[in-house]
Amino acid sequence: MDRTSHTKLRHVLLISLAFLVCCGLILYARVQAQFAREEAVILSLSNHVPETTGELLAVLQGENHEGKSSGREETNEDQAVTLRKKYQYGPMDFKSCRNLTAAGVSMMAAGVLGILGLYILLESKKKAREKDDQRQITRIEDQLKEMARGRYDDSTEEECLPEYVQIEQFIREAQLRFTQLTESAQLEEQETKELITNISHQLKTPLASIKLSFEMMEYDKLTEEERESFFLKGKAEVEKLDGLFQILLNLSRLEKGIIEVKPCCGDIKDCILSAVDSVYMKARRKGIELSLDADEKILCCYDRKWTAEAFVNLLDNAVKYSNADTKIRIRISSLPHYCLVEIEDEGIGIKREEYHKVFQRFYRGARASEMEDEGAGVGLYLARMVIEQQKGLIKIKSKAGTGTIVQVMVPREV
Amino acid sequence: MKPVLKTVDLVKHYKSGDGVVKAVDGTSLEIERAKFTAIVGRSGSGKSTLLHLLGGLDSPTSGKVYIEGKDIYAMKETPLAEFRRRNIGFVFQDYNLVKSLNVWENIVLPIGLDGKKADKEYVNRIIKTVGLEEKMYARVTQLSGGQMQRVAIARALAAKPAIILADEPTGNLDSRTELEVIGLLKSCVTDYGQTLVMITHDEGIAQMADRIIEIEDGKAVCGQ
Repeated sequence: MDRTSHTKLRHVLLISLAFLVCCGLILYARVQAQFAREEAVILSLSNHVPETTGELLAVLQGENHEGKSSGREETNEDQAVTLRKKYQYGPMDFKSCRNLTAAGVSMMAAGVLGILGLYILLESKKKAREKDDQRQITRIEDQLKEMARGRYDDSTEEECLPEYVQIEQFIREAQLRFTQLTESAQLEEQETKELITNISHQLKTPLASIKLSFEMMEYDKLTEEERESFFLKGKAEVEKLDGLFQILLNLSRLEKGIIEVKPCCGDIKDCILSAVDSVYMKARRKGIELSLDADEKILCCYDRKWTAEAFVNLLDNAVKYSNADTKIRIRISSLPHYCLVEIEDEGIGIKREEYHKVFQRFYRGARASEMEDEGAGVGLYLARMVIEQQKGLIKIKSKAGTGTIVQVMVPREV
Repeated sequence: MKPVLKTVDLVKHYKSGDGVVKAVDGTSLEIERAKFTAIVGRSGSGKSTLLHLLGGLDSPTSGKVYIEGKDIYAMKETPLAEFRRRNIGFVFQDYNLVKSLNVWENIVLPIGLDGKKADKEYVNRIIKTVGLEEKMYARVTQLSGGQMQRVAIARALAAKPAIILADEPTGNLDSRTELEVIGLLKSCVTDYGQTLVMITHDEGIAQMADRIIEIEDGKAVCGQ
């Protein structure tokens, strides 16, 4: 029972109590009045007819008059009855009065007791209710204290009072939010550590190579040619290191949100054409033919620079991992909500088990490493990150040894 | 943090002829909120049975399934049905479309049953995604298998349920529609925070998930 109806009920009970007491008083007063009237009648009778005073007194006291025989009593009764019938009037005798009063009083008492009982019951319920409230508030306090200390575990499964359901719900949501924040903070910390480890690992090898080249160059007993060759090797390694460094820098910036992908609208074809430009020479050197098959102009929402970067990576992969004299086909088509760009090569392909691995940072398939020395294993990782940040998708379809189709979906202009 | 779906020692055995088929054999797993979880495994490994059990559509031989912390098999039939309708969208092989209604009506039926109003813009987007714009008012009986599958997908997503359970949702679709549907499903996860659990045999799709769970002989072997 909630507070407002509890209070109302209390008021109702109090009023009923008052009412009953008033009724009682009125009833009592009436009985007394009736009594008084009877007394007055009998007194005036005895004044007029003094001989019958004794009888009258007896009547008042409810006793049978001594001096009469049983026969006369009956006739007295009969007379009383006839009198009653004649005058439509009858005396209330003391006994019945007493009974009536007794009955009335006991009913009254019962009523009063009943109401008092209910009242006490209500009060005790109220006390219990207050205790519940207090316990509930303590529970909420405890939860908030735990949250302040950084602990967001769920509380017990105790039943909670209806008025507090909403509050508990909000606390639940706050706990969830804080837990999520904590988890993502921890995840980020872990990822940063990994990134640092990976980068240092990646840079170690080229640096060691450069160091070696220099050391070799210092060696006295070298021919001019040998020195020259070490010099060139060192130079090549420096170039490689520079390239690697750039990639890693971009990657870190993108990951940490220092650079944001800012989609804006444009024809996706422009982006792809510029990507093709970047890899064209490399493809040509290997004798790989690039073809572009595009429908009409398709307007998409994408970040020109970063998406071009992603496509460069994909095309670069296609070129790197294809043999000479093969074809790379690029197709652009439109779906209801996306623009689909498919890059199909005839290269070494990707094994099904490796599908999800190839998107991992720094992962290179075994056959990829065999095929091509260069490659930090970040191309697909970067491409996916860029595409997904733009609310697009990358999907791979491949057959090991036959070729790979990379399907990229870019959201169309709304 | 409580996982949105959780099973504890889930077991489902069928009697088959003389023997017992252990479709699900003691699986305990947790599905994370607002993530795309793919379930992979060979045919007959118990994936579909597991998904049915996860959605409260079948009763386990033993073990428990908790959705948002509620033990669903301890619930009575009616509250369970209501809970299911409000929180889960199913895309299963048996489409269960209402034959007397048309495409649009089938799609918004679960929303109507809950007494809510459909988000017209969103539903239209879904219909466009599955490529049923032309057929919005066609009777279900006039549709092909692939089209019916698309209606089932649309229906599951229209009410924006907190959890989407899908069993090979793109099986009967052409590759272009498949891509659109996968795109839509992924956006449900990233944009609306819905939880997606999908059975698929396609490695390419599985690899787009946040997590892959492999099922072998009725047991879960965890993936990435």
